[in-house]
Amino acid sequence: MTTPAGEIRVAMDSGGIAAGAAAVFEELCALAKNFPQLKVIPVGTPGMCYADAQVEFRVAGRPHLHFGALKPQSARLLFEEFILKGRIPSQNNPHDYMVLAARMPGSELPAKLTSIVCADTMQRGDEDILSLLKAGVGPEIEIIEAADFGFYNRGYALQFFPGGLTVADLSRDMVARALHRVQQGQLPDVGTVLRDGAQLRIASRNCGVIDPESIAAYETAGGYTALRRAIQLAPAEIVSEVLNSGLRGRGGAGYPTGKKWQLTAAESGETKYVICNGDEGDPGAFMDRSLLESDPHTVLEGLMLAGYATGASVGYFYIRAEYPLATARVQKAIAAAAAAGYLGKNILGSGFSFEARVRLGAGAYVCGEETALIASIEGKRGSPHSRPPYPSVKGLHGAPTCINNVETLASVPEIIAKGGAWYAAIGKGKSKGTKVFAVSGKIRRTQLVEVPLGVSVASVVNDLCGGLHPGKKIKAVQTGGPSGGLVPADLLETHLTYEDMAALGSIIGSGGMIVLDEDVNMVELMHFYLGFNVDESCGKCAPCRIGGFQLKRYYDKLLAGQGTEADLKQIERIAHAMQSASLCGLGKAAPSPLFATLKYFRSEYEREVKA
Amino acid sequence: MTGAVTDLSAEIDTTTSRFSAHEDNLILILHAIQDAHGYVPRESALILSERLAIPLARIYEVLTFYHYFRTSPPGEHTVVVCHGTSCWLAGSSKVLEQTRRYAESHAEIKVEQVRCVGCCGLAPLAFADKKIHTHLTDERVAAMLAEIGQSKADV
Repeated sequence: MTTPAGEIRVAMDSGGIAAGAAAVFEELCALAKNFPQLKVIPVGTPGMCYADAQVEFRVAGRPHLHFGALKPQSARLLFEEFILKGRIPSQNNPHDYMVLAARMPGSELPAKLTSIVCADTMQRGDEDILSLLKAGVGPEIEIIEAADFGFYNRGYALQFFPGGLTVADLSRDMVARALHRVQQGQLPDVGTVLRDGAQLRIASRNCGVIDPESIAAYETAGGYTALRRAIQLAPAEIVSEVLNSGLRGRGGAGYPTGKKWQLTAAESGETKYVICNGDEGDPGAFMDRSLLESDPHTVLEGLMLAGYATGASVGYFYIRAEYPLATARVQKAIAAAAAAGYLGKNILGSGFSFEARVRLGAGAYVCGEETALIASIEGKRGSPHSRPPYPSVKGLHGAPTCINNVETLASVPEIIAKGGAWYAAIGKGKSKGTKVFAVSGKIRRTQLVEVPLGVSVASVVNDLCGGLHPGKKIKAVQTGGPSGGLVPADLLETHLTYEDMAALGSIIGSGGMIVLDEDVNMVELMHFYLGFNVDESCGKCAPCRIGGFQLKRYYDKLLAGQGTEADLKQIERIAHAMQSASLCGLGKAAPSPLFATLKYFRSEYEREVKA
Repeated sequence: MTGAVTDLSAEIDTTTSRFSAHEDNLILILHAIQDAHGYVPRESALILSERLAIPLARIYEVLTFYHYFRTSPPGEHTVVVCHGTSCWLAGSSKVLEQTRRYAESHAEIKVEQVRCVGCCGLAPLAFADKKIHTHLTDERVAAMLAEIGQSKADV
């Protein structure tokens, strides 16, 4: 092959680094040193956390692929064989690494077919797609089986190179015909030719694509054009653009973002603040970590836009202490943006001045609650106080303050760049736009996905993440963390909208989706969550402090086989008291998963009750 | 003792000078002190209360509220087991149990837990002296714990 040219992207978020991506990156840098046209770039996560440590090869003349579960040795093998020799190593030992197909389909038919990437997205396991294809083409065509195409339950999927044209929904009988058509230079008339990726990435559009530590890369990807556009307009126009977009708070509450901005903007007063809430406390949630680590400039730009729209000149990032890499990348982004003139006094000659600061959390779940978060930024205990006054009126240091979640802010630059109407056209009913979900637990493909609101829980779990491990049955999907609820298996077709989820007694929440299989004991799960809530209660109000403790004692008793029917009634009474009388969201919502387990899995409680 | 206090005093000055000596920055300053010592020594807190002109109780109400801060020295070695929901589903209770059992006969090891570090694809996981160990099984936990002894022998 001629001198290799292209890009190798190594996923270096904290998940990737934990799985050994740094060593893979170094190995590839050393290998690529002699090939000036081959760039090795550190990027954030492309979402496929199950495949860490992972790289994406975009090399001219070779099929576009991701490789996962890599070690320096396998990365070297792939570099030497796949790139330099122009062939995929024979996949004798599938445990060495994973092959994943490109996430976005190409649209061009290959002038001369060289490679086919294939998979059985039904995961039947007994279907030999490789030999089926090999029977249909000559040995000069390279055939590569991928472990994952990013979608499931769509028959056989084939991707043709050069070009990356992708066809799915193929049955066994259709494969030969699809092949024949492509070789004749015609679009297949069987199956479905895919035009779009299986996901719709707006907030996470740059994740796994650009170097998060390079402001130039962000600008090349269209970064800071929204800011440039915004400062030509009046702040009120930015507010109305966000109002029109229908964007709602992605941290869990779902309050319309534009309205929040409007309230802060309407306040008079010299000093106002905007805050990015990066205190991602729900266990099993990693959307905000991924966004901050993979594309900090997008979140920063969103915060600047919030500042411009509301009239604030200081913005804070409040980030969990457990996320050191996110903190470091945000700090780097702030320094780079300041050096480039996007922060500071009189930004780009507009008269708008804005500075951004970082504050660290210190391990307190309650600090995700906005009044507690403000107290924490002021260097105090993170105790919530009752509202009103709302932070929009009296927040940080008593000044009007607008607090938005990381993902909410990450969605804003695209809304300002493309217009509120564009965003509002995505989604379903009153739930507009897209949402990032972190899917984990007993799922085959633990990963981060971004989809339009309104898709079903089942489609995320089964069609994007491949369902459960073979032989396992789904029991429920837990959403919204320890303050969320449950979607039981027979209601998986529920649409992911704020309204549909609320009707079920659950919430979309911040986006953590924990898949539970039939081995999970719901009483044990609830006991686990109560342990979390007892640890995390700030202790200020009695319903939460004492209620949580009492509930946990009843669950201890239940699990010790000492529970009675009367205890179940008492559990419900305490939970109702907590829900109605607690001071803040933590105590009010702590019983939500409890009610959900009682509603859908009461039989499991009854099994624990002493006969 | 006087020498040690002077050192600490100078250190606090350096630390506070990195931030404006305002009580708003208390949490950031406490992070810096803990990063340097592994915990927040009482002497440091005393000096800090003078520098920031705030009562010691004001510092301790913050220190003891947040899980992240320690008021006593960490063990010679620390194992932090992630006990978020995904890790719990993948068996972190067993990891905790096995680690605690091991630590009973190894006084130099302290066992702590954390509620999710957001790397759920690698569950269950733990940090042994900040080195991450992922996809833990009985054998991998044993190997992780044995490795701690190893590095101690190296020292």
